[in-house]
Amino acid sequence: MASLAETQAALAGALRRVSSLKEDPELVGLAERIATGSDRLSPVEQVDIYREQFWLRHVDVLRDDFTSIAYALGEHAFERLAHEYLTSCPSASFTLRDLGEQMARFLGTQAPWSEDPFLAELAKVEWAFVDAFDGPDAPPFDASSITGRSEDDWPGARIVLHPALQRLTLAWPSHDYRIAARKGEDPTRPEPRPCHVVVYRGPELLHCLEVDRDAAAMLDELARGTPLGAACERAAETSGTDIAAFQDKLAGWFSEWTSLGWIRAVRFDA
Amino acid sequence: MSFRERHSIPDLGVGVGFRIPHYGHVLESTETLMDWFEIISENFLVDGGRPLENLARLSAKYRVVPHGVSLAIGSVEPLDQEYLSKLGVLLQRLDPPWVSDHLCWGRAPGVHIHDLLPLPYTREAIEHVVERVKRVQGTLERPFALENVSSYMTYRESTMPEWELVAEISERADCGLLLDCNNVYVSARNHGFDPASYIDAVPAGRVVQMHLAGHTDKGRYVLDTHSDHVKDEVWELYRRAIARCGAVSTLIEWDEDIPEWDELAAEAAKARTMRAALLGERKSAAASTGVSRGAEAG
Repeated sequence: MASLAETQAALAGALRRVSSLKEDPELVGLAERIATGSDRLSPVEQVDIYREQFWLRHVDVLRDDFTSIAYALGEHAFERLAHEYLTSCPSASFTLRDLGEQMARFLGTQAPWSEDPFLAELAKVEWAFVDAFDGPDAPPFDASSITGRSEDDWPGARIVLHPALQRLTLAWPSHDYRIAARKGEDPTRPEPRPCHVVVYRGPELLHCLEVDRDAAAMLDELARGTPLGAACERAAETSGTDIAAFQDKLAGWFSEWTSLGWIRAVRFDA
Repeated sequence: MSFRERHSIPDLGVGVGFRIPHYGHVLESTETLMDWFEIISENFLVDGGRPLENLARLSAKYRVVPHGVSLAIGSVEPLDQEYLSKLGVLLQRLDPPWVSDHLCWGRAPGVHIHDLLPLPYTREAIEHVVERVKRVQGTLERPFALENVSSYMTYRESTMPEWELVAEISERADCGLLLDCNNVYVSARNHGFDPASYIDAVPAGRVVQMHLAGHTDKGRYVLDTHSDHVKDEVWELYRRAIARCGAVSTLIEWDEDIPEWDELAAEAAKARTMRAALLGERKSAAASTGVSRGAEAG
């Protein structure tokens, strides 16, 4: 007599088989040891109902989360990807929301998909939208928090970005491809073009905005918690821009990023 | 006193699941569109964003009861403490009169199956689940109800009918039950038992909520799809369940091929009318005999 643990372990393995259990005599035997069958279904057919539902459910979730990859690969190839991915990266979370968390890494490291880095980049963009959708909230920026501050206070100030904001550096305009694929606009694969994007949550929808290299470098420093003065110096160095020219952009960025909801607070230590 | 009485479980009337196609209508309407709403707990165990904004707006106007799919109470894997902790936060947000999940397993070593897999109906399963339900109730500090799942397979190990397992677990763990009439019907069709026997064996005083849903006849088996109107046979079971259990909160589940709001609301209205008629008959019968079945043990 099998224990509950043995039964569950055996079934969990069987349900994750991609092809019907009927095709494997060993699994037919396993199903017969576990299930009784009925007057209409054999034991293996009973277990196969759950196996089919397992794959339908999981592939649907991945297709929803990685629509642009399904478009780029085509349905048949995407299903094969989903099968390989789920076999290598079984769900480790109580929520299907996290199912695709490893997709960008998987595509970037597993042949044949790793031979086409555009796919891993698309996955990175798609997942940024997932994280931006339900990432943490932060109170809106309070303009009164910066009134009365002297110029000397600002180099040490830390600009707090929205915690759900996602910053990506891309080798292709993959974000445009993603949008077009999701709108059913039949996009063609773009030519490589380095670009910097921010995926963020607006009051109603998720948005993706391309920013220039200087802004990207600055946002990355701010996200690391670097004080404003040091952030300017490091970001200017990263992007190869003269520090004076860089600082000239600060006021405009501050105004724009505040209105977009990216900046949520300014902290003046001490 | 029954479980419902001891925990002052309210009768919320008839509600529906809060689903994305209806978010706009439900949240924007100035009218009260429904008695109450059920949410899938896992959809709101997130850090922030629109899900929690929508939930805050919904719960400001309606009673909202969370219904989980991932507790895996019957799995041999340890209970997921991160999940329970997040669920606890959700319960603090909503302060619901009860919280529910399924009598099933869905986790195995190293993997979440994300399905409501039936348990073998054995002594071992009973002992295992009773102990875990007690721990869950202790952690959540909230009346907890287990839902019977629909099933497509029968275990060689089983030594009793499902309803005996359900009754013993609920009695020994002292928990509530979410009686899904459609699941009873689906399992009865798939396994060839009389669904009325199931309804008649459920500890009536422990039933805190009922589910109604549509299913799909796949020919050689019936699949619990929540994709259609409640079938006549399930309405019949619901009548039987209400006649037996009394004024129990009822919920229409419709999760695939989700119709326009008016069609869904009409299905809820049908349940409401049926329930009111049955409860009226029950009250009359009790008055004439001097017996209150609301105090039935359980």
